[in-house]
Amino acid sequence: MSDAQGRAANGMLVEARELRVHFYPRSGLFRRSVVKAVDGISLDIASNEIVAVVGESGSGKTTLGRALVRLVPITEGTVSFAGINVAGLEGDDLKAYRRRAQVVFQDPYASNSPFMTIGDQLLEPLAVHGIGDPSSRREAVLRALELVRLTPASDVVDTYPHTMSGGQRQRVCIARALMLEPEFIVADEPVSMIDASSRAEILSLLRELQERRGMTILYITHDIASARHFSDRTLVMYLGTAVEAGPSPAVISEPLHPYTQGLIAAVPEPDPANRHSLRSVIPGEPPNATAAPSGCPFHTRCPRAIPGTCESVRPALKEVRPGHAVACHLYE
Amino acid sequence: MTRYILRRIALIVPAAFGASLVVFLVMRALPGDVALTILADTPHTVEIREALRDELGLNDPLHTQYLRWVASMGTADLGGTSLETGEPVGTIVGGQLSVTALLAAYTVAMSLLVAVPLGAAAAMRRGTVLDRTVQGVATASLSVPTVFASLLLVWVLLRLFRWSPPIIYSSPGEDLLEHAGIMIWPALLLAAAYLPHLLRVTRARLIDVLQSDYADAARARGLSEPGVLVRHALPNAMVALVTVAGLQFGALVSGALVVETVFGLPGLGRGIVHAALARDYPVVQSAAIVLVVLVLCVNLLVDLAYAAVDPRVHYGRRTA
Repeated sequence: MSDAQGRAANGMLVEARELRVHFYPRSGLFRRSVVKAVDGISLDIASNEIVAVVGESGSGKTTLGRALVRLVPITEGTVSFAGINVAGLEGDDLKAYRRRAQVVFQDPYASNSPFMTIGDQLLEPLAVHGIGDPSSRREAVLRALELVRLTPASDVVDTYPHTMSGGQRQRVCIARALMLEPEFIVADEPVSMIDASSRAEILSLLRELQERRGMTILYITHDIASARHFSDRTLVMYLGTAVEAGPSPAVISEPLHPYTQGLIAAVPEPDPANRHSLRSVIPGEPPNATAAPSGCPFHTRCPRAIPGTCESVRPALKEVRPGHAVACHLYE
Repeated sequence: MTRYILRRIALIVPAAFGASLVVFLVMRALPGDVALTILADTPHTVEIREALRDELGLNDPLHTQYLRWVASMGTADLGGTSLETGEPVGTIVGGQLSVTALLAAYTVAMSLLVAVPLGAAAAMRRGTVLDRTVQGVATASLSVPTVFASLLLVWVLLRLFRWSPPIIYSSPGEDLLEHAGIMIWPALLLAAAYLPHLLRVTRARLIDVLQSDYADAARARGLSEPGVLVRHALPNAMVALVTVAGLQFGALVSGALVVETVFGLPGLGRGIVHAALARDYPVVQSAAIVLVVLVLCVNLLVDLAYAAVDPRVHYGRRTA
């Protein structure tokens, strides 16, 4: 069911159900190892909403984002985008979907082709989709560069990425993602590899564009503090599963899951008086992705694990407060 | 850019001088001399041999011989006259160079035409039967010594097809078809050793680039796999390809030495082998210097090619 703008009847733009993305890094005759990068995630994103996905390295947050824009194959589950099942798209239908859903990658140094001018990189999406004619495309490129405040745009078009800073390159990537005027953007740690001074600028640029163009953004980050300022809702991931989800202010100021609590406790506080106080941290490293623990995946590191329950039964994600869900036996 | 090229050309001179000293000394260190070759078929006395050595200048002090050779390098004779035949070295080496240069050009062209598409196909179908076959054949082809492959090929052509390559070389200007019939086999043999390097680097580089974020970014904006390959991956792979093509050129030239001898091509390789056996010092020395300069020039071309393929490479003054 979708209306004229292509929105599903319930106002959700993206609806993922029991999404699984598994990788088989080594497949042999006798051994087959599986990495369950995304292992049964259900996620709804409303139109015009910014949803943050938070987690440590290896939690599967990047894979989740890539699966939503079909850059990695979906093993199981469905992703519906404005009523279309994205998981099965092929050929021209997939190409049409690419016009509506775009991505900004983490590493601005790796996501620009070093052999093409900025102008050519921005032109490419339009050329691939056959939008406009050469002169209107050039104008669109200049407009996009001005939109991300890379000025003077007429000079920037002819430069190569290697002459730019990380922040400038990331703005090129944002401009490139915007060329097709997508409804949905996956921003995969868009500020983690650029100078602290440019981070706030990039995020406020994204927020401004989202407000002005009515875009929907999936913001992937390991920085839970930035999720609070930038996103409407937050999903916390651990080893490919969702451990907590809810409105960002609630998740961050009243975290329910011990893992989320640990992540927030690890955020440094800008108060010199606290500089010597020990911050509690989550002990240990995330387990090997090919051998996820039984029961609750977090029980091996959880300070409040319930013996006998947590290592055998996997907790389901349950709404314990309005809109705020957690997957933890402590709340059952 | 022009200044850079001029500087690089200027640097070839000292390199060639260094090589000339080494070649000169190595040749003198070998036992025997050209007088023995010339007089091999005639009964002669020690006095006659000594008189011939005096006449050829072989009894002069080494530094005199060296300076005489270097001085005549600057003339059209390119190092004096052959001790064996009395022909100007320039004429001998010039004729041989055209044969070897053509052989090398055919080999490089053939290798590029095969290695790039095949490497791309293997990279795009990584891990499939096609990829493994291409890789296996490339490794096998790389592992067979050129001498062995040359002799095997001649034997196969003779025994199975009762065909042998023409004995008399024809330049492309004389008889193009005959020329092709002569050159195809040596060029194939050289390509068998040269092409696998290009193929492997193309495949490896493409696999790398096809997994990069900017390839994913291109896919995300709807570019097809061939589109990603042609527009984004191949330009990047070109840099590595040009590097390997240049580095392996030296090996290609030494391979030419073998196949020219086996196939009787009047090239620099066979010329240098023949002259070295006859201890025809000026010919060996000048031919070696010509080869050194040839390889250095190819290296220069490779460096210039970087600037042409890769916008990050600039020589000389920066404009940006």
